[in-house]
Amino acid sequence: MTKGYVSIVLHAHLPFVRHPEHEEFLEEDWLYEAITETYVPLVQMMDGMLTDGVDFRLTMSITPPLANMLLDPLLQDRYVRYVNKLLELSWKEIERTKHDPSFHKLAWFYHKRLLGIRHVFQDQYNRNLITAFKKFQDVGNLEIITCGATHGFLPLMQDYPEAVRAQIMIARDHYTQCFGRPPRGIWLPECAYFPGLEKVLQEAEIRYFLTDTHGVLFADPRPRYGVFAPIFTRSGPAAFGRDTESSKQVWSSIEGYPGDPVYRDFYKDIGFDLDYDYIRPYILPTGERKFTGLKYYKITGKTDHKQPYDPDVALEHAAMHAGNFMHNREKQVEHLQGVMGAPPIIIAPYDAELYGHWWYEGPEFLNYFIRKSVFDQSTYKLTTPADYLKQFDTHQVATPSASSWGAKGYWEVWLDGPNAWIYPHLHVAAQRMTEAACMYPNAYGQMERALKQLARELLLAQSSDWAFLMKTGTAPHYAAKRTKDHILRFTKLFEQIKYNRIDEAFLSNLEWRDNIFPDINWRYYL
Amino acid sequence: MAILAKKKSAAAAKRSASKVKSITPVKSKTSSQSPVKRHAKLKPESIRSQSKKSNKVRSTAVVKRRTMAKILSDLIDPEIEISNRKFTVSTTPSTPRIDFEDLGELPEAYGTKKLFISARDPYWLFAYWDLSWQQFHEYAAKAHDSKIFLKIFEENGNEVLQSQISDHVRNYYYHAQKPNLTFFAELGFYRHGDQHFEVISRSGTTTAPRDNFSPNTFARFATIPFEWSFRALLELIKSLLSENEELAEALARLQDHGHPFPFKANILKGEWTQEQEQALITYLGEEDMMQTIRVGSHEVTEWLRRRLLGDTTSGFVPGLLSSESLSSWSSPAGGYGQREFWMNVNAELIIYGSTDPAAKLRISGKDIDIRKDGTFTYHWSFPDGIFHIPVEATSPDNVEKRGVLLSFLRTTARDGEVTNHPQDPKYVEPLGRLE
Repeated sequence: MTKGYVSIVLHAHLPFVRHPEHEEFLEEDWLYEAITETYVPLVQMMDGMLTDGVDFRLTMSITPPLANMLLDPLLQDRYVRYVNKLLELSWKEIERTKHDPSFHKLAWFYHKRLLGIRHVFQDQYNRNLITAFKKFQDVGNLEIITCGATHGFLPLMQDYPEAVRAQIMIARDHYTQCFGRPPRGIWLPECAYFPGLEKVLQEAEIRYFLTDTHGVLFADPRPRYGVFAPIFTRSGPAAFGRDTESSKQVWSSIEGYPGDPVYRDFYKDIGFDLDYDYIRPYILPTGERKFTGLKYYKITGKTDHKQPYDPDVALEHAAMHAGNFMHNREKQVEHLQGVMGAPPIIIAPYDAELYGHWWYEGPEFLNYFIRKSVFDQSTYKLTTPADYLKQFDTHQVATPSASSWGAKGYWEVWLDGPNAWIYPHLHVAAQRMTEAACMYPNAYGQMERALKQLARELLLAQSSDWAFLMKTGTAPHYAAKRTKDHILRFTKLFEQIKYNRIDEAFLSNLEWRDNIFPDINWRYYL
Repeated sequence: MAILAKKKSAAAAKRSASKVKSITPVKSKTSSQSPVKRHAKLKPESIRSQSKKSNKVRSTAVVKRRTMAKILSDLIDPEIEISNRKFTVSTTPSTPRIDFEDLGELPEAYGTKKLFISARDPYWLFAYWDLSWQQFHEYAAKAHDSKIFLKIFEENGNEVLQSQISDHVRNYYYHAQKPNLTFFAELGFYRHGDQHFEVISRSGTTTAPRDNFSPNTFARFATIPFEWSFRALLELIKSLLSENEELAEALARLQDHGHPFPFKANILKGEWTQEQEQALITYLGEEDMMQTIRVGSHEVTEWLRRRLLGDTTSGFVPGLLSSESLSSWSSPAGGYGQREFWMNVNAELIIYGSTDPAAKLRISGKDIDIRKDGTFTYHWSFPDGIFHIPVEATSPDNVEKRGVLLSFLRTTARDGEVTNHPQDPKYVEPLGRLE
């Protein structure tokens, strides 16, 4: 008998990084690595379940910047070039390791895996992974949700309601173009909610969003069922709160799965470990070493002597961890159902890229967990928030607390010493965008192109990723440069629009560089 | 977004930077040594249109090109087989021409006089103001003491901060420590003569988020059928909406009063008992939850990264978290309105001591291991706040207890951009925070 529900939600997002002005560009690898290690493995996982008749339920955000990149012919081409080069390297590795059985086996493993990935990407889905995810949604197994147009941090835009509205409505429009129907749910960028945001979501007919645990738990009035049932916000969209126990099960320092010594070590990569002359054709054109994705060692433990990675053993552990995760969800649901007297819903959201990219065996863990949940137990059912709201349409009305899923739970990650300098610029640009739209509400031709591009530059500058990268120190200079570049492009174009003196060469150059949202509706800024 | 970290050496980054600096807009077709030469056949359409051969080239480009819009429309057009879709190289002609690469620097200020305030979390407020250097000194000249002040008020007008600001600082972090309260700010000066505070700019309001459960336990439920659009529901009840009432509130009120709807409204009659409430809070583990919610997924991601990092001995790892992990074209010399000078500060708290090795020791209610020599240590992060930390030892025979109550206060006032230095996420803040 079903005593409750479990909803796995994956947040698939990367910032819009596309540099046609360079033949190769390091940060574009973020996309290529994620396609290789996360997105295609997830597609393979879902295709496998369709083939085997597994009636799964999974929710996944595909953010508009990611969707734009996955649809972009230049990046699609570059990805094929990337994977072909990796295949060439893996072929050389088979030869190089022929006298070392453990590494030779791994070289073949990578070669075959890369062949499979290229087949899925190029042959099966014609370089367009959006069609793959759309297929899984159309058959009713996957629920794809949207996000802010460029993952803008909405609470710090509150003073500019047109900018907040544009982030939501442009995302909705793009989702509809991609998936043939409007989105029913949204992953708020960084799960950042502020009271009042639900009014815009209502206008966009978005039925639900997700918050971190305390977003729902500290709602007003106090939610009777904690995070184990959604609440309706004043305007109607439902808020689902993250369950901490299932998060900890996966990532806890004590019981977390990805640190198992048999899993693949992320950092030991032949791009850094092998002889320079040998690896030179497969690293950056500048000669700098980079990750290749070919990694031969397991985590092993705190030792200098890493042991060779064994994919078969790692797979066994992924199955074991999936079984453990399922068992714990059963116990959790049983207990909560007893306390609540009603079936709880467990919302377990994760960064999609953690599965596969960081935790190499993550997609296999998910695969096992979903299959086991469908076939090996009856305590809970896998669901999506939309399916849950269809089945249970009566909920408490309350206003969630302002919150995010960043460190410490609020805005600090995006508003602190290293990144606070961006906000005066972003705010002036948001104000100017509305000013420009109001100047030419009936624009057409070149002026309309300019207004569209103005909106693209603002949206790209607003991406929360830049503030995040500045704060974490991961790629702070690139992040700062992106913010600065988009603001400067915006400002120069704004001056041209203001005085009705569009420089065609400049406008065309920007359209060529920053081609996100080809059909953008700039009138949302009016 | 997962952290997709890259490792590069500082020397390599400098090489990249020097390459960037060598990239200049193409001035002629004969710039043979330019990095753009190898792509010279691929110019942007806009530039082609200005060339002598523009017409012919452009028409070819238009024929070959499929716009993103077309791709999207094909995507949702069931008539077009996926296998028949062909994607060309780019939405616009690819080119290496680096025109418009350097657009200068961002302004120090725009001079809009805007004063912005936002609660950053339940305890901290952040404010910035957009005054140019010239504006600042013009206002300062009007002040009887040549000083400009930032004031922060509670919503009821109660002033909680007055701080003089200088002409080189443009933002302020204030440790208000008042969750769920609304604030606003003013920027101004005391003028000559009557010394009245003249306001240059007033901010909007901001409300600090709640940091605990709402005391309001009144639960009201609404039925919102999924198949009904919000628009249709609003249409259904628009004449019944009270002032400032939103859709779900109105539905809850009307359904509670038995108003008829063309769908079934499920009024929940069941009582929610104190026992159930307490059982749920116990399950969530109130103290544990209060700790957990301070650790967001980004932090978990960071923790994972560091954990993996700690488990590896790869020689390239140490640079990973440093600001040396530059992109392929970042300039270490700055040039983005950012200077290279920086400052990171943070604090940790270590409590240590010794007792009978066989005693039981608790710090903040947590059992602590005592080493064989009787010494003990416990280590926390030490964020801003007031913390009371009880340390208690019970004798091995359980007869005697001894203890101390240690109290700590940390506040942080920043002058300029000072960042929290990264800390090992395994160190959490102490329990016993007194906000």
